[in-house]
Amino acid sequence: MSGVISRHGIELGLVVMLCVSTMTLAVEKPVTPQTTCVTEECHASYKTQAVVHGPVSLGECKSCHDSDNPAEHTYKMTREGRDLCEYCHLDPAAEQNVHEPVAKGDCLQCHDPHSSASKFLMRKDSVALQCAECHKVTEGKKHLHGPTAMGECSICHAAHSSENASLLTMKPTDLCVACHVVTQEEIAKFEFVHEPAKGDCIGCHDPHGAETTKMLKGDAPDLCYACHEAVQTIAENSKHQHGVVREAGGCLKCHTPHASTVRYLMKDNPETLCLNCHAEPQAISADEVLPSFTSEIKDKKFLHGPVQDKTCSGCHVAHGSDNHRLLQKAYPELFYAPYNPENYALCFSCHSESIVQDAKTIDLTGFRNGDMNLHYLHVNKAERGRTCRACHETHGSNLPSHLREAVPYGMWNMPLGFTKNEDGGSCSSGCHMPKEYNRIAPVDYTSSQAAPSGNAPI
Amino acid sequence: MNKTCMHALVVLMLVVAGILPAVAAGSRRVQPGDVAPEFSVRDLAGQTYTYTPQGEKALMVMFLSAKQASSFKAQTDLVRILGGIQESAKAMDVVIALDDPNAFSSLTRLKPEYAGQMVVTLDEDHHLWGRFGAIAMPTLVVVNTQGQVVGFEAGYGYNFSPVIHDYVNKALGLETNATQASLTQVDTVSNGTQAAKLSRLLKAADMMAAKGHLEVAIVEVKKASAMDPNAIDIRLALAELYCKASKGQEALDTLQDIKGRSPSQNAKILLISGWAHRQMGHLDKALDVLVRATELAPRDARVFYELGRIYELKGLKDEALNAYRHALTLLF
Repeated sequence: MSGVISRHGIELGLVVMLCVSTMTLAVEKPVTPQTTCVTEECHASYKTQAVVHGPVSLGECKSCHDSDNPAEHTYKMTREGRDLCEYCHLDPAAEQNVHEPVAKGDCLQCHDPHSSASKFLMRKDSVALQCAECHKVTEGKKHLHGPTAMGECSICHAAHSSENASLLTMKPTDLCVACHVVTQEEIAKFEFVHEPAKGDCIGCHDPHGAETTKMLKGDAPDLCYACHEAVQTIAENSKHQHGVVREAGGCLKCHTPHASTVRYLMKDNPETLCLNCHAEPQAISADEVLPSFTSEIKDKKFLHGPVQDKTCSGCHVAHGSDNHRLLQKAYPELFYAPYNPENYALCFSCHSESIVQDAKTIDLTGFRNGDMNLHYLHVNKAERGRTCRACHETHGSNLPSHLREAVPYGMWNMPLGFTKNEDGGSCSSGCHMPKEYNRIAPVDYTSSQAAPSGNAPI
Repeated sequence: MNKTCMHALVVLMLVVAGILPAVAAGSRRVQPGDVAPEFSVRDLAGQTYTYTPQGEKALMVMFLSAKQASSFKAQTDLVRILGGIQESAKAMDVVIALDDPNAFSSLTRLKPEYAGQMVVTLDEDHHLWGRFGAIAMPTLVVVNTQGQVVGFEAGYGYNFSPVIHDYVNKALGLETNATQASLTQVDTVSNGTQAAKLSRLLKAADMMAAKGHLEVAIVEVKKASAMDPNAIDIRLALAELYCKASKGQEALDTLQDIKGRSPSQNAKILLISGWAHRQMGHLDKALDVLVRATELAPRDARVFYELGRIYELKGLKDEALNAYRHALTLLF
């Protein structure tokens, strides 16, 4: 049928039209110098993006490109490397620390020289995506730092160069607190500040993100051990170890990470911290249970100084110790011990050794008969010296100087029978015959009473 | 002469020589409120220092041992405390009784800088120790200018530093707001407080807004507002950001339920409402609220500037110029 175009004919016609239109639209590369390269026909896309480089916008391609061989349509750059960009963009590498692409003159690694969909002619859609091309700082991190999460790397980092390491926009001491103002204000009020909190926040925190909300580089105690190696050694190698220290997050049960009103960044007074566990009896081995400390000192009138000061750490090391009961230093465990200053290192941490080394004194102690030092008399013996615990309770008692009400001797608790008067006192214990002492009018032991150094029954 | 008589004679000679107090001391510890005992000591250079409670000078006596870690900690605190009282130190003598003349270089280094008199003495024989009734080291006794003991601290307790600070302040009559509770209470930094979080969010929003990232800034302020929905200043910040982002309706919605809740902020609420209404083309409404704003804040240049913009959009050139001029007058 003459009026009917066959399907084959239509297809043929389309092919012909396409060929004709291609021949019409295709533009040959110009072989002579042109005023501009960005025309409707050539390189048009350079001007269609949201952000266009100044020279491109003005059609001033010659700012950057020189004709090399017009016949071949080849061009060379007007300047080499960084000099090309720095001719207009004044020395982006002026500061001490320079971003590697800038140093290498590879500005095009991050920037499109003609146009881009994003500000600063970034090749990627955002600064964060651009940085992530090389810096995979967010990979695998559950919690991201605010600026990282917002993709605002440039809040903390300069893109080209900086006087600070890691291209930080400010000194590390100033950068974090520029946002964390309240933390800075709080820390300034404290006497005891953790060294990293004085400006090295990244000592503990990952500034990009981490597994935890606090964005810590690790968990206590391992994170803490990175600096506190000595504590790690004690915690892991001591003969007597303190379980809580090695627990996950153990350090933070007693210490605060930034600042405290008291030394060692304690979270609270040591007694309160210890009583978090030791208010109740604590099993420390299969056959030994520590009594409740709360019960031990309840209603006691006379407390040992450190207990009174709520400073358990006066005698105990919280991290671990080679001495029993986590004591800081040696202290005899038994009723008797030959006198050796090394055995009493703990007591001599506060009390003068002279108290058991000077046979005579009028200054060192009230436990004297005239100038006869009765501490010396009891303790300083080559054999069977009475240890401090023979007469004193460690934590507290209802007698002055936290003296025991009864002296433990094997299975027997011998009442001490101590009474105090203005100038001295007396003991009527099971250890020896009742004896008095008087600082002002010394008792004559040679006549009225047996000499105290002589025939004590035990 | 037997040994007892010999000892008594030695004691008598020391008393006469002024090294020991005139009355042989017992071990009785001096108590706060007691009159401090008189004493004389020789410093390491052999000079005699004498203290009397009638001397109208405050006194700090510290007993420290070179062998003790706790004494070392105490002395580092003391260097800080004494170094901080500066000129007031002229009213307080400090006597450091050591058991080793070479101990504590940092304390003895402080001596030339200490504005008051600092005496370092060797108390190997514990005579001064007995005079004050010390039984442990470190021990600190602080006496006020009336010669009364204000504090006696034995051992290095967890709160040694604040306690000694307080004693020194009291002895010198310096201002102190310490209470018994505050001296025993331990405070720590808690940057997890709501105030700290709000501050961080608002700071981040400021930075984002300054960089032109208004949408991100809005997100941050919305988080802050969700944490503290009753905070009117945060709502205002959010509404202002909405206006900057040309989202007038959102700005008005944000302000909706805070109107009238804070009279001091009413002018700002009206200003931002006017701004939002202008963006939405509600010029009459904008004019109405901004005129009310000028009545509440007649010294606020921003209100008059915004009013000028409304007049300008309404074609009221003279009124617009008057409003702009008034705004400039308020600024310069």
